[in-house]
Amino acid sequence: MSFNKAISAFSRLSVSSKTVAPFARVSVPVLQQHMTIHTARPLLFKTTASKALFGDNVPNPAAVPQPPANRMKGSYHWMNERAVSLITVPLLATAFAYGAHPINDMLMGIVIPMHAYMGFQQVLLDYFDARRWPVISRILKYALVAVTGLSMFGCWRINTTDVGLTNYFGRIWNANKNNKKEER
Amino acid sequence: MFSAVTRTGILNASRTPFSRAVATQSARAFVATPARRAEEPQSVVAERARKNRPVSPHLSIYQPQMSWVLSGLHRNTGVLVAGSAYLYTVAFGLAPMFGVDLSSLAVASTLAAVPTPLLLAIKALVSGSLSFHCVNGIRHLVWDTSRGLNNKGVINSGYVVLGTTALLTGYLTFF
Repeated sequence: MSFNKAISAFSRLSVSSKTVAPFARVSVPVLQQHMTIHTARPLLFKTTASKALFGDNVPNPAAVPQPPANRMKGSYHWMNERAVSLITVPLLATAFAYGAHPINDMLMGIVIPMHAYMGFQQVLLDYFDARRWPVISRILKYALVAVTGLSMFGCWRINTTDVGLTNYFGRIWNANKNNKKEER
Repeated sequence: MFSAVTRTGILNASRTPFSRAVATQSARAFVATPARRAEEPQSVVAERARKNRPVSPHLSIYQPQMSWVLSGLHRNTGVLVAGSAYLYTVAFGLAPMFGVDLSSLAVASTLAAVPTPLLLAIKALVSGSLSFHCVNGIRHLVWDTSRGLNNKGVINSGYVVLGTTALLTGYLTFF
């Protein structure tokens, strides 16, 4: 009993101190072990969450079979989503409060389609799961990529051949007003 | 359960109500599954049962709550705004191919001719969706720092979101 407690205490240590418990007898390549530990420790959350969830039996991440680490999947994808969402806030706030600026318009033309793409990706994952709809999900995935690309192209065209995203939207929004405010 | 065993014997081991109805030659009429014709394969019978089976009420009886109503609204407004933005920017990008003029002057002059009540309604819908999605998005980002993840936090922040959205929508629509 005390031996088990010692092991679980040691594995608890390993989760929070970025080292691999030596008792884990798995043939996992060193780089993958390192990447595995990295994905097992998300940056924003407190590591005491594992103690609250698992108590004394914190699973050793190196012993759990993990898919190969990919910068666009898993927790990295989640963090990318939040990063893109976070970036859109100051962009939209600048457009709303300050008005038109070419750099802001250019960034909006990139970030907003990206944010829309990630949002629609979640919708597709929820309603057209690849395991149940193998053909439809693939078609919609490619269609989403195509539409996002075309949308970025359209935003670029608005920014270059027309007055820019902010001014364009401002003119449409205030079309029925006598004094068209260029800044909004 | 007991009746299934005694009536149908041990051979029919599955105890779903459907198999009970199928296997027993009872005179009781089930609405969902009419009496089985002997030659029909199980798949045909199952298909017919699936089509005629009643569905338990779900959306019509679940009490609207701050959690799921705002969550559904977040997704719906997101799809609405993003879908419209996609359609419009793609149309603008492809407009020269079809000879359509979507420059800001052309669109603004077309919209100026639209009657004001209709324009106000469209503006309210668009500004309401966009502002709700933005403010609720900030609420989501706050949750992602693991703050306010309890019942009270969800409800209070939900009220803040709704109030802010109302203010923003009013401002954007009318000013």
